Amino acid sequence: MLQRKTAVIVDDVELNRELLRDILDEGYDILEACNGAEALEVIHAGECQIGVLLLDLVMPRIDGFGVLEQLKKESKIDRFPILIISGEKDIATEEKCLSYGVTDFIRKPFTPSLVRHRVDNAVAFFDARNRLEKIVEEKTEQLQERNKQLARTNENTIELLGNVVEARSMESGTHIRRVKGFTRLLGKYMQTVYPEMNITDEEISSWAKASAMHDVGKIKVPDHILLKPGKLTAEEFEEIKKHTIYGCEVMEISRHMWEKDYYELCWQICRFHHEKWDGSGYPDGLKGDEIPLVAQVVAVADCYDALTTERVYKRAFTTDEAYDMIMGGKCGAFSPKVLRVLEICRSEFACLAVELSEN
Amino acid sequence: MNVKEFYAVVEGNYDEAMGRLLTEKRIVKYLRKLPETGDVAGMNAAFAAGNWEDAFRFSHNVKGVSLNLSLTSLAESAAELCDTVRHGAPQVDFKGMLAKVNEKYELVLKNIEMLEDA
Repeated sequence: MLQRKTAVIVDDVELNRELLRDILDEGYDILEACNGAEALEVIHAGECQIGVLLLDLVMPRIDGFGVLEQLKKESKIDRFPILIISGEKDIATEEKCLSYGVTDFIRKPFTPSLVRHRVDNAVAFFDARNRLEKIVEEKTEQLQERNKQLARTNENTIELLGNVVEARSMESGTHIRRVKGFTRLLGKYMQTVYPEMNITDEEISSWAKASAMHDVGKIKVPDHILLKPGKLTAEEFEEIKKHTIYGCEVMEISRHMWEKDYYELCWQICRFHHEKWDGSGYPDGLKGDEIPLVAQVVAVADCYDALTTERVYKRAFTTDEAYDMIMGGKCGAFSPKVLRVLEICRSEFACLAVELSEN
Repeated sequence: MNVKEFYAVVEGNYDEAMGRLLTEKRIVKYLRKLPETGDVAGMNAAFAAGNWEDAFRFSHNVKGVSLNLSLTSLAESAAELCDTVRHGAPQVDFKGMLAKVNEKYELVLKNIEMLEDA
């Protein structure tokens, strides 16, 4: 059984209210108000249940336009149908009411049966609209939840891919997690220190997730080079350097499966995370801000982690040593802005390094 | 006096009233409510006090109720009076119009008393 709707009748003349009440009594619960102020009280008290508002214009205290103005201010003018019942004959008044967004304008003298039809139609229309809005809202929520799940799956897949590469490199298995953590931390400080860059929270989150892809190209580097414990020959080092290009090639194979912006971000990280600020990096020798910002950030995060963890070819440096080496240019030139941020968050960085290593 | 005779005496529109309100019983019910409304008294007080905002509102109410009850002549007089104070102080002599509204209203009230049950 359908729930009865409430019709609010607002008119300062009792006889007019009675006329309308008799029209709507069968089918609607009736609430009455004899001026605009009372009408607003009734609306505020029972807003959710109101099915339709029948509003006179010329009334004491607050008139009909005052009610419309207030409802507009409160963004409630389209919550339920509003039908103006007025003796005003001029078009300008009707136009003014309609411009507020009222559903209908009924002139006195009105014909009861027509008023009833108009009210019923307006209520049915709003019901249908509200049902549709609810469906859209539910579907949107479902879609957002699925998008979140998909994003989580994507992130896990990317991380898995990075971990496969890492495992093959015989590394600790936590390099990717630490680079992600450092990237996120640097991003957060970049956002605060350089507000003019307008870095959003979403971007920082994407940077961190995408950073897992930075060494994916190592999958194509031969074992005897990748796993060589001793010093690499110049030729072997040239091959290692190609992991930046290989990473992009690996990504290219599945390009159609990626969201465009995210693909671009991962691609930039894969390709440019070994570029140096002074142009001495590889593979393209980009210089300064030719290097995408995300790659500038991941470069520092990657280097810091490489320094502070043990590798087949080196011992782990302490966080202080790693900091001094990076700031002193021992590992090449990094973005001055990112270095400035590293300087600011030095201790937090070191704590994170310890925390992520322990975990 | 029956409903049809009533409308003839007060220069109303019986056919229109029946067309909208459908039964004489309903028409009589609403007509008998008319003396309970205080709008004519409010209108007279407001005009006497020079309170043009209230004068507009009360005369507007008289017009609206009369229209709904198809009391055509009273509605026309009230509409004419109402327009004189629509934008504040009247620019024309309203006294004659006010007297006319009162006269027609009295006629309606007098004849409502004589109305038979429908």
